[in-house]
Amino acid sequence: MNCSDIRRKLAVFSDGGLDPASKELVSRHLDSCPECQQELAQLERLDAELDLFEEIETGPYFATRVKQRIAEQQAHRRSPWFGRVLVPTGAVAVTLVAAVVGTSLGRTVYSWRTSTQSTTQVASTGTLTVLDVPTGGSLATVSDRVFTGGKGE
Amino acid sequence: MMNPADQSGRDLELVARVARGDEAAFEELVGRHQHSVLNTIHRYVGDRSAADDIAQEVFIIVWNKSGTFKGKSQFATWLYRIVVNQCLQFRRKKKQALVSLDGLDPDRPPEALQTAVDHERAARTAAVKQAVSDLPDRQRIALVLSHYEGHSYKEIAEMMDTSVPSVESLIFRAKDELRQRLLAYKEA
Repeated sequence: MNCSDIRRKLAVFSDGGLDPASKELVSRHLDSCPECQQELAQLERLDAELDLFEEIETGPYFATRVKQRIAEQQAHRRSPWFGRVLVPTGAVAVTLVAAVVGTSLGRTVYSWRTSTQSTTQVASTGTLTVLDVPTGGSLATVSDRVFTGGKGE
Repeated sequence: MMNPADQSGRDLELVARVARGDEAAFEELVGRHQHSVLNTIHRYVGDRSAADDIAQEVFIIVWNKSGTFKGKSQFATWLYRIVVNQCLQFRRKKKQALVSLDGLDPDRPPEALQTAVDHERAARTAAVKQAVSDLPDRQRIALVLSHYEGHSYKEIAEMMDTSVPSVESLIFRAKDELRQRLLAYKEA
């Protein structure tokens, strides 16, 4: 093995991961090679540097939080399909029906009010084309209202 | 204190109970592994809050998938496969956002660190964190599992679903890269 081969093994060597035969081979090479010894020393310094990346501690409620998340997932899975699918769909349907009924009702009221106004206008000109009977009373009263423009009485 | 074989046996016993829905067993299993899982993830993602969230997600997967664990490998190997997958998945999602680890820039340590008594050590720590954070994903996870968690190359190969020579190569390249970066920092 030359220096290049040995250097590829040094990281494993410094981690103690080499098999006994390879370890013996690298050790013997190191005894006679100052460059590879220097390389190994650098790797050992690097290992010491890496230890600056310190450990962190787990919080006291780690397991509790994990169990809580599992419970949430299970509750979600257990909820019946119509609870997760039908309820939102139903809400959308109710909204749409309300919108359609509202629009239709609005149009009816608008057209009723428009027709009421035109009848009143026609009546005030004295030309009887539409007979509007907005309130109760006898035919004579109605007729009187029409010909006086609703101002009789 | 339990020896590794006893610990592994206890894990197998607990995970079997977890598969049957035993919450007490799950709590014990979480307690046994939460520290190393959280630290592995923290050293990988570099952000405490994200690490906490991913670690919780890992144990939720353990709860949900414990029934699929057949005991062919050690529980720790199976667990760390989940850790590796979750870390890589997080990294993929956050690739753009994770430009700087914890907002720490080795050239500009934050104010709190500048006023720290051990300024040099704090700056050096920031440089190490940044250098680890800048490693390619697979090199970083291999380095964290090896250097910080002390897993053997064989275990790491199983966790990362690769071969032992690949792990050797990943760690060799990771250390080479770190040495160059940290030496460059020192010289600057």
